[in-house]
Amino acid sequence: MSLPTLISPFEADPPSAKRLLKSIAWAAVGAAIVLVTIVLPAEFGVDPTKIGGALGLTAMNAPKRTLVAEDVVGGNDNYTEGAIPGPGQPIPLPNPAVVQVKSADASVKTFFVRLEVDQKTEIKVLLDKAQVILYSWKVEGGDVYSDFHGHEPNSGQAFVRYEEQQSGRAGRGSLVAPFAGEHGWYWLNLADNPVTITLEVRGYYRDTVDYGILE
Amino acid sequence: MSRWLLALWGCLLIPAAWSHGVEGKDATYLESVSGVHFIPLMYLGAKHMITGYDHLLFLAGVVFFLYRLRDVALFATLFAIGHSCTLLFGALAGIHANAFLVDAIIGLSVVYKALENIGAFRRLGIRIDARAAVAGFGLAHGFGLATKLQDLTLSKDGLVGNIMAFNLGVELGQIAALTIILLALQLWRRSRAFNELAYTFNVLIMMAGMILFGYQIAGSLLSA
Repeated sequence: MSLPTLISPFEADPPSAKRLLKSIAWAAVGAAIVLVTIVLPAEFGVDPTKIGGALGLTAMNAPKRTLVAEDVVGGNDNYTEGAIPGPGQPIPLPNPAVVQVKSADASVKTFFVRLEVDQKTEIKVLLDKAQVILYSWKVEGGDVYSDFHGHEPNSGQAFVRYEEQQSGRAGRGSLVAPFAGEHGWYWLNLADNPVTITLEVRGYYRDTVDYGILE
Repeated sequence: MSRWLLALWGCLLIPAAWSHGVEGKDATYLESVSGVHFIPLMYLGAKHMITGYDHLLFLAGVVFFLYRLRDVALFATLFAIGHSCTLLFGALAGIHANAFLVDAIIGLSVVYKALENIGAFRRLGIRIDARAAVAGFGLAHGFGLATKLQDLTLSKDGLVGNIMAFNLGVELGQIAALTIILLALQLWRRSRAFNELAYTFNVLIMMAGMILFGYQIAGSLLSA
């Protein structure tokens, strides 16, 4: 098999050393500029020139903030195949959180909040993951906007919404906390007169927080 | 015309933005399977080659001035032999090379090839056997491939068959990539702009190789 001894035309007739050096220098300078202003900021968050930050590239390195909301009620997703147990032996629970045996009675707490026209308030229940509450609230005097939601501490504006009512006078139900954090209600008085909200929370929870009238 | 061709080249190099290495759901897949999964592993090998910008840059440099098909075949085969040796050997023997270092050498291989193409070694009076160099850098590329493959927990069951399938896929991917590169080059060579721009283009390939090198060195220093 014959082989070209000279592969490139530039090998047959090499450019001058000056031109080559100039080209290599240009390539090195170009590479350094791209590295320092683009690649390093984007890949490693190293941004000595601050150009990467101005281009929004360093943001690609910001730690990702994630919220893990797991299905803690049904638990069928966690079900794994296993051998059929012997007679009289139970099948292992796919999700142990469906049963939470406690030594103390559940807590009960009732809140009364009076909202003037256009006033808003928020009451939260601090729950560990998979803790369970039953709740019931009702309004006297008019309609309110309500937002039943939860978020992790320090998660900024991120939240999950359980139930939103554009206009209503009552809400009731249960919640199994999908993650540890604050879970509760935001209410806004829509009526042309003061209203009174009565909330009762029952269950196993860490604590409650009454934010009072919000600014 | 030349601008259009440059755009075509740009398209070839854009996969850089997508992915490198074997990542995400592919990695999850590889970790979950046991036994020989020939076609999926072959596909992953081909995908790795076609989306691996470092391999593509090196290949583009190698075939840049090769006009005859049998020369292309010779160099492609040398490269394939080189990287197959280290891919098979590295993955089978479980040799964990430093990924940053290997990728930095791959970056250097791109710089080397571009320097050779613009006649820098000839100007210095250095004669390097291009065949040996391509096969030698092929070894480095193979270590890169092996390291990526080993970052995953491959099941012991069917390991050899899977590595062979991955390697075969890499070769098929190389053929596919080369076909596209050669077609683009062939079109470009017809225009006068080729001779005017060939030098500049190789300097750009060299710059890209330097960026790859710097990126990997920075990675090795910063992630330690």
